[in-house]
Amino acid sequence: MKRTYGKIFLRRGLMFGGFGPIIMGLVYLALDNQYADFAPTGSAVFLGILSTYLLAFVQAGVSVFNQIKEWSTIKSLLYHFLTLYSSYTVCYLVNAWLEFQVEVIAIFTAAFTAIYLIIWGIVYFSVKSVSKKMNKKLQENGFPAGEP
Amino acid sequence: MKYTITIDPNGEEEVLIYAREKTELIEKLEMLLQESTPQLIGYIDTAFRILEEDEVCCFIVEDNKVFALTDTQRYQLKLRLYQVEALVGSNFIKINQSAIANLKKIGKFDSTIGGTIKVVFKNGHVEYVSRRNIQRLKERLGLI
Repeated sequence: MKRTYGKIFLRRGLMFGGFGPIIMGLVYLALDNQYADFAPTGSAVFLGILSTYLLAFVQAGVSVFNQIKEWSTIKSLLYHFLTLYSSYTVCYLVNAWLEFQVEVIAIFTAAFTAIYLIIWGIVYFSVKSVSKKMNKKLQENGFPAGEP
Repeated sequence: MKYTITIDPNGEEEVLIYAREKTELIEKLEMLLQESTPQLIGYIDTAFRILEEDEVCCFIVEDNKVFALTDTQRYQLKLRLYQVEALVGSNFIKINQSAIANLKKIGKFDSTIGGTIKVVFKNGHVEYVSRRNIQRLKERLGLI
């Protein structure tokens, strides 16, 4: 029963990739309103659009990692984190939104890891709570749950 | 091919086909019967049988084919998933774009690290609830 995870990755990426440039556009709009001398070049804008599209594409696609039945929980989480971390780092460095210095990258890594863990924790525990309630309701509604 | 039609207002309606091999004509007759009699007919290779709803854990789509998974078997159906959805009773609910689950056959719900809800069926099969279908499932279970 081999699933075509690659196809799912591609489909999700294509569905949500466009959000990257939209968010970048909003950030540029805010910067333009804030700073009078904010004037990115055409090539910088093009690079930004391309890289944020790819970033959003990857971010949407990697959600398939937790559905790969052959992978353990730890492996899925690790690959999910590493893929996101590397794509964000590369995108920021390519656009020079992050300076190529060890200290700067170290601070970025620490901040990224902390934010990732906080968001993951919030999502994980809220979904866990929902699944617990659903198990309870399943039994209450006369659909006795049971281990396979 | 010889055929006999017996009209009996009090008898049980049944179609029996005796053949040396499965031909195009038999396949057409099967399709016709399936369309006119809403039943779940499950195929394993050339053998087929009518499936009871209660024995099916879930219906899934793989490689554009619809399968019914029971506790021990995997039957192919010659129906589309939307046709199956229209055919089955209220114990069944669509949980993602390519799966319909039998609530009576769900072993448990579980959370995944990616923030989706995993459905583990009593036969061990695993599916995931899509965000699009989560509200409907919650409503069906009486959570909202």
